[in-house]
Amino acid sequence: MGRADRNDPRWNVAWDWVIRQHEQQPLTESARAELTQWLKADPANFENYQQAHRIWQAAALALWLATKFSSGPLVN
Amino acid sequence: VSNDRQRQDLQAAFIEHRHRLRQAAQRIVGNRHLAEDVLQSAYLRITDASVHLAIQQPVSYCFQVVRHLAIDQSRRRALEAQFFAAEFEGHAVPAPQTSPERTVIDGQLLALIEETLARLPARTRQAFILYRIDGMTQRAIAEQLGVSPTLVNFMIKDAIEALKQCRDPTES
Repeated sequence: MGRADRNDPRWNVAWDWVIRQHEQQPLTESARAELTQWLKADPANFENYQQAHRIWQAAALALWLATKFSSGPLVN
Repeated sequence: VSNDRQRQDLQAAFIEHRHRLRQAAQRIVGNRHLAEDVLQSAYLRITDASVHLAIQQPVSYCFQVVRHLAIDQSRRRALEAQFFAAEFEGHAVPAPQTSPERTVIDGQLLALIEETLARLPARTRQAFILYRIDGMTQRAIAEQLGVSPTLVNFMIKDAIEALKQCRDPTES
């Protein structure tokens, strides 16, 4: 795992969707349709979205574990 | 007993009883692979602790550490499972192929993200916790932290930008 290209449009769009889902729960019907269309348009879209979603989940897990166990690099 | 001598005694006890130690770990964590992880952590812990503690019974101490770490790992895994169950309840991802099983988080990714988040300024991390874990709006976070919504927006963006750098280039 390493540095990502900040200018990769596909990666940025994937993240925009992940954040939008976080902020608008649930997504509107039209937004869901738009996301589904984007995911189906290209397998690379889906891969990018899936990876962004995994990082987003892992971030929550890391923060949650830090608060549960009060240990690790996130507790200082 | 000198520290060096004590360390040698502990290492010797650990190596001599490693099979039984692994069995003890396996009974708690459920499989050999996880038991090996516990054993590795225990070895590091035992070597480190020998500098600070006067240990009378090295073998008992080794078993005690292995059991403690195995229980800790089991608890952690149970909590992780609980977390994922809650996280996915009602938050279905609108893609037919996506399921919790496909959103497996490996230890390497988790460690990278922990390091990434740990490098953020404390206030940025606090704002991000309120946003990500507590689900607060940026306006509410601003009120709680006593800063402007614009600053909160920048802090959240910084945290997200840092996470975006955790991408695995071999995956996509």
